[in-house]
Amino acid sequence: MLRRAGHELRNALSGVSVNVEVVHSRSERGVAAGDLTAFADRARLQVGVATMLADGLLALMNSVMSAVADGTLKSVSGNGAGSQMELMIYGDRRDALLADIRRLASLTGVGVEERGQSVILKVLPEGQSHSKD
Amino acid sequence: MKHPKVLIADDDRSITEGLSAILRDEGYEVAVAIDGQKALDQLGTEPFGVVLADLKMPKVDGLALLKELQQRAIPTECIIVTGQATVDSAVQAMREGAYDYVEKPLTADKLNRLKALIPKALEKFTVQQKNRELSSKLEGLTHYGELTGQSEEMRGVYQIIEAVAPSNASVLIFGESGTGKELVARAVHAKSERAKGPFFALNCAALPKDILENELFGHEKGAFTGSVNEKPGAFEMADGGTIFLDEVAEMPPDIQVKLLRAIESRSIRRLGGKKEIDVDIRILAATNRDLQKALSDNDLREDLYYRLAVVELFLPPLRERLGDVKLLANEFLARYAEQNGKALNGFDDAAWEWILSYNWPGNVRELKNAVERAVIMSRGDKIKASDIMPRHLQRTGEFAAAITVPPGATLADTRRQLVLRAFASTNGDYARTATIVGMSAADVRAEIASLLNGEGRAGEANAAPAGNGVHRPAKPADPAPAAAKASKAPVKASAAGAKSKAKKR
Repeated sequence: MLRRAGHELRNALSGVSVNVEVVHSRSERGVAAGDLTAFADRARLQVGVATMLADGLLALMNSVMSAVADGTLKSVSGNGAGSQMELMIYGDRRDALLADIRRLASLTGVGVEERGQSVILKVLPEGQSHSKD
Repeated sequence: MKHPKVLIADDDRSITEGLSAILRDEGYEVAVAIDGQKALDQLGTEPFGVVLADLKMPKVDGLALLKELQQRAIPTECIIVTGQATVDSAVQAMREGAYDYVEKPLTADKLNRLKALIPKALEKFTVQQKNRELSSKLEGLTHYGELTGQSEEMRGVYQIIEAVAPSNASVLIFGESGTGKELVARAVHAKSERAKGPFFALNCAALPKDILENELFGHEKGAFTGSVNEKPGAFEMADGGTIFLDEVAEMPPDIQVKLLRAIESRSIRRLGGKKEIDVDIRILAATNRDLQKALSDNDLREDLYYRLAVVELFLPPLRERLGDVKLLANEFLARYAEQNGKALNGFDDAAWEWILSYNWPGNVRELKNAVERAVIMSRGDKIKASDIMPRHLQRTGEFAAAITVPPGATLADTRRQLVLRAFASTNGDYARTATIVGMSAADVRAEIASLLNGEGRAGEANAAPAGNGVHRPAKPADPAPAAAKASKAPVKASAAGAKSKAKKR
């Protein structure tokens, strides 16, 4: 999941960089601001994606570290597609953390299942997700 | 292709839109495919000079796309854009034929690198595209200008002529006597921008020194006893066109100095003249000499050699392009049968066997003369071996006495030579040939049939007789000082005249 998140971050940053480069070079040549909006919007959108990925990674790391500390990391198995992790997420910030993790999961091709306080994250095969191992 | 296009294959729209804009701003025509399969579809319908492919894409990923491009022989240069810049994936991409790869994220530095890579990749694509067009143009070609031949060796010659003709570069043509060096020179001239200008051929071995100098540079009135009128030389007469100096290594050394000066200054001075006359000429030269020997013997000035041999072209002897022998023999037969009003129906099997087994030391010229003589001498409706064999060989049978195996010949080459020689010496008797060479008659038949069907590879014919003179050119390794040259080149008294006529081979 971390590897996939890393690739997605690179993709998002590429989107930012490429579109900012268009805005930069065209504005230097005096292209009207209106003609640059689409590129600026795309860059902004990719910044949003990168932010979601970063927030999700932080939420996941915080949850995993808490679970390790509390002894509520139930299982970690497999490697790559099909691998899964079950941990408990609880407390005041559960909903916020889970929301960030869900967004990360959707961007990286990871399934999220809730069983009570437990959360099961399962890395989906590549065909079922946009993300790339 | 006037404007090579760039195809971006990536499923990430934020990248394709931005990258397209950047490349369009750079002046490229850009198309986008949102996965590898769509990229393949587009590449199948229109040509793209460069493909920028993401390594990971739905359906067909970057590596699979590369493999398909290779498999389907789709001409393009592929630059892989990868978010997984591991050594393995990069090495694999290059191994699969990628031009280069760029790692994500595409920061300003990486975009600059990409911008620098694309024109280089396009240049490579354009050069290869031109080569492909040329190869396909020359594929199956049996005639090129006045040259005849469809062998790989001759296609190589045509390809060099195509490449060099539009330039103004001097060309030094190497080849044994009778291989058609002047025809190559004529083809270079005809394919050049000078084609409308004159083509002036001069045989440097044919004329005594004084006459050669006069022919080259001309003279003023009163330059020497009997020069009652001024006369322009070859350089002036070839102005705006091409001058072909055949047997240039036979040119006397002091004329070589004058020639060198004329080439360098692009101007000449007539004998007895004081003024410099500017000339706009291209120089083509030829020699049948072993160039290393001519240089070491000081017969050819080294500085002149470098001026003349900007491009070197080796014309293979006929024995090294066996596949062309049938084509040439048939063509000469048709030509001379028509000229002599004879209704001839080709060569009989024994004649073919002899034609294909003889090593033709006089090359195309000897074959042409042999066929002309055979047409005149023939009594039946087909040319027989006895019609076409030179008399001295008919008497002695020496053509079958020995074979020479050149360095680099394979076992198959040698076997074919043995079979052919034995076959010719038995007057086409399969059973006797089989006994002589220790093969089955069926194998002998198969060997002969493959030759008769034109499947004989170059170099599979008879090897060159020992010491036959011309070798493939090599630049001199240890240049001797030009000033040390003192020997005089021999002058052939019996060679042909100066202005040559185009002769169809």
